[in-house]
Amino acid sequence: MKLSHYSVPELLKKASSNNGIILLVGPFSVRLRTRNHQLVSNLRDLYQDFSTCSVKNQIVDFHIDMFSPSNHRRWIKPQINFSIDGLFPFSPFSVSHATPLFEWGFNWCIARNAQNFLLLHAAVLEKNNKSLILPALPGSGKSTLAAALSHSGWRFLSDEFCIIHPSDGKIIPIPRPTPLKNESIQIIRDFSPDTFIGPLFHNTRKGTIGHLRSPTSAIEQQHKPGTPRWIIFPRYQSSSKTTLMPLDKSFSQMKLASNAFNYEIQSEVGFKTVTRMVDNCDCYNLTFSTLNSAISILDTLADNV
Amino acid sequence: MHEVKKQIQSRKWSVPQNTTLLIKQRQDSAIVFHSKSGETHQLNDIGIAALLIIQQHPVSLNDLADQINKLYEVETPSELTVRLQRLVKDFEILGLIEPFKE
Repeated sequence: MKLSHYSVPELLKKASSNNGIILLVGPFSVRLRTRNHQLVSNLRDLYQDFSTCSVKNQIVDFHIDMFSPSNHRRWIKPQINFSIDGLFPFSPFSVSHATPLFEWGFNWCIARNAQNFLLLHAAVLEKNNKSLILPALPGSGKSTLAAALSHSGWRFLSDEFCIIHPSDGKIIPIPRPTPLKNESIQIIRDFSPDTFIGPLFHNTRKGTIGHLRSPTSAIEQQHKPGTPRWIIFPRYQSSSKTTLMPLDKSFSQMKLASNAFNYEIQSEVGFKTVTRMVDNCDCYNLTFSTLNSAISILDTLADNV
Repeated sequence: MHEVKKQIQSRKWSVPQNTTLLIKQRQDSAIVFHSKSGETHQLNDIGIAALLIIQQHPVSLNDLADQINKLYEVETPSELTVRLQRLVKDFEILGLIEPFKE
């Protein structure tokens, strides 16, 4: 049953119970328990097309609780805690930032616990059944470009994690909402006015954040793995000419390895997985100043395979 | 001084025991994964040639220079030896090689 089949009061009742809400997101299942109305309402909007199920029918990967602290911060400048399996990996956040805290906490759960996969910090999209991997540092325009591509005929697999199964080198989709930051929020609103962006959260550690809901089609196909074909390192540069320059594979491999969450932990498996991926992909540097020019060049690349 | 230099050049080098080096060679460079440190290094053609020679069997700097010279027909062998001396030192710092224990 999709999350959107439940009303907010129904979901809040579930989330407040001992069993919580179970969300099936990519290869993971998450149980969330909370009494925070705003968080439940936001998650219903952002994860509306994801499935939920009964705790009795599902082995849960991450048991997340988000409750107010049991001290005066429950009422005075109220805060909220994120905990997993009884651990509190973060300091409490302002209760008004519960949604970004959930998203960051979910990232933390994956990066820390999903060690059966190789985890790259990259967005992933797909066209013509070939996957495009966009690894990048913050500020490179990766999320903005990925969001624009996902509304331009590309299948959206992920914004934050490129999850690779070491056994076959396939990419496992996890099409969670994309956290757009600062100017990117208006850029995507202008680019695709029909998209849904949740409430804006100001003064977070990354500035203002608005979460972009993923296309329904991406979630419907979230169990269909991707085949790596292109590794493209994007870089937004205002007033620059849009260029796509081939990149040396060994250099690309070094960049990818340094961009992974758990490459060292994966050790030889990580090396072999990245090596295979680079061997199977064409590697490029993409410099762009407008989304339309970047999409056009990537469309041409994908259509000429 | 001359004696010390000679000693350094005749000291043999080898890949440490219980160390796995995974190597992916491509056109002009190679990537080496060092199992003990978990680090990955990018080497140019001479670097990877030197490492592969040392991996095959323990070798002195002089022998290494001779073998590389044969492969690349270097015009100035003395410069090559200096370069390899630096390279061997770097390899040792990275833990890729160590002085050979007879």
